[in-house]
Amino acid sequence: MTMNAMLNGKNAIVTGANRGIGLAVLRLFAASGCNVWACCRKPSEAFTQEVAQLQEKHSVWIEPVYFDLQNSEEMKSAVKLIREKKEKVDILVNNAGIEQKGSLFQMTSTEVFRQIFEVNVFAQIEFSRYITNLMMRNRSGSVVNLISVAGLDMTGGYMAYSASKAAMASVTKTMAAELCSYGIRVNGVAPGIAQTDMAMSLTEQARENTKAASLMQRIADPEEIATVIRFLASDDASYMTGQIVRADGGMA
Amino acid sequence: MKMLAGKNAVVTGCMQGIGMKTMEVFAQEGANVWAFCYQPTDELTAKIQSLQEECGVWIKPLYFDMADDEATKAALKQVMADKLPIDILANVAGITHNALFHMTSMNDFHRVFQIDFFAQMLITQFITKLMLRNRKGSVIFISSDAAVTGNAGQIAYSAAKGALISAMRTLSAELANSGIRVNAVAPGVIDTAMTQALTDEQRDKLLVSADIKRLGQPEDIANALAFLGSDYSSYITGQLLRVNGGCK
Repeated sequence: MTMNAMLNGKNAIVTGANRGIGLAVLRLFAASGCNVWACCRKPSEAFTQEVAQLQEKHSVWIEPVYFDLQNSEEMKSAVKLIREKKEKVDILVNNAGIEQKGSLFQMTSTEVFRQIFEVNVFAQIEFSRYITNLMMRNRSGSVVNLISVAGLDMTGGYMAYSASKAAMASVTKTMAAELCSYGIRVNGVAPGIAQTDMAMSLTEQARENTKAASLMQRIADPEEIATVIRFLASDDASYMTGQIVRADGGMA
Repeated sequence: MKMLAGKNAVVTGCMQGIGMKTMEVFAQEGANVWAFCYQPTDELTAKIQSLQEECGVWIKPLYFDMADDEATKAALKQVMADKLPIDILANVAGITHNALFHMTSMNDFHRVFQIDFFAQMLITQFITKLMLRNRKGSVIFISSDAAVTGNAGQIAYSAAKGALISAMRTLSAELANSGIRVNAVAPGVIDTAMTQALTDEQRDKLLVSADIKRLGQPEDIANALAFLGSDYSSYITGQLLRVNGGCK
């Protein structure tokens, strides 16, 4: 079902590409004819193999880019590496993020808030600034931010995480307004719960509650989120900007 | 592989504008289409002919007036008689009535709601009953930015399009456990005969709040409908997708 030339000849940057939704995006983009700078923190044998297989199977190039979003210097080197390839950047998928161990507001230290915002908000903004700067030169581009229904519905218990995602929903809309005149669209996807390591780190109870709150009464396959990201990244969504699309099995 | 390969779709409002473009995109993406239209035109007949040849799909036009419930039922019976599974229903047909509240007669309200709401409920009831047999399907309504933000001078239209959003959400809840997804697209100002009826001043005013400073094209909406009709949106239901160039 995934083979489709929807992104033929485009070049994309995907963060957190080694697992979960990011890995599903990497696989789907490659299968759709898209070259990818696949960003993640550290190399691993499994990831290297995956990249090699995808390149061969789909005749695209995939360039792994290793850096820690929390490290500004590493990020700068990564951007340099991307720039040195001298290929235009069409798509940026800001997927990488960190979760929070479930705790109530009163139990969440400011330290935890800062740490989560550092990665889920500030690093996203910093990286987006570098990359959209490259997009501005071509006067075209599409940015897709991973929000979360937790950032829109605020059901309690994961305040630092949900507040960071709510901040990204705002960032998405403001970026859309500011970058539109450069031909850059910016949208967000708000997944419900997907079958990923991150979701598995939630308490059983939290997972069951989210599942029960959805009309479909099931957890998403990461691929079902990746197809939404691909739609927003593609030219099929050329009149959409500043939108947050919920892929949540029907929660609100 | 094409996005809608092997799927069968009902598309309403195929005579012109967004409906006609939706029929075209669906066919190009590999779907067979029952094309509901108000009446035949040379342009439509030629388009159907060329799409069938070009895309290797069938397109069956059914001509009737959605103001007439009996005629609508007769068309739906023809669809049923084909005894084929139906994967997608795209409720595109709609009319507008541009007038201020105090200038809008009850008759105008009834006329707009008949096409933009009641007839759509009738069609959706019939078609989802068929979808229930296969325990899968995707239903899409066309709402409007006018329903989300209101629009002075379009009271009947915006109210009917608002009712569609509520109906969409309720239907998504009722049909989810039968495997049927229900969503809606809210277009901004799209370049069709419907918006050509507006004055330049009215159109410009609507575009002021858009980030993308152009009218949307029918294809922009047709692409969104193809996405929501396809399995690529399999975890999306009960949603209103705004395709409006970034209007607030």
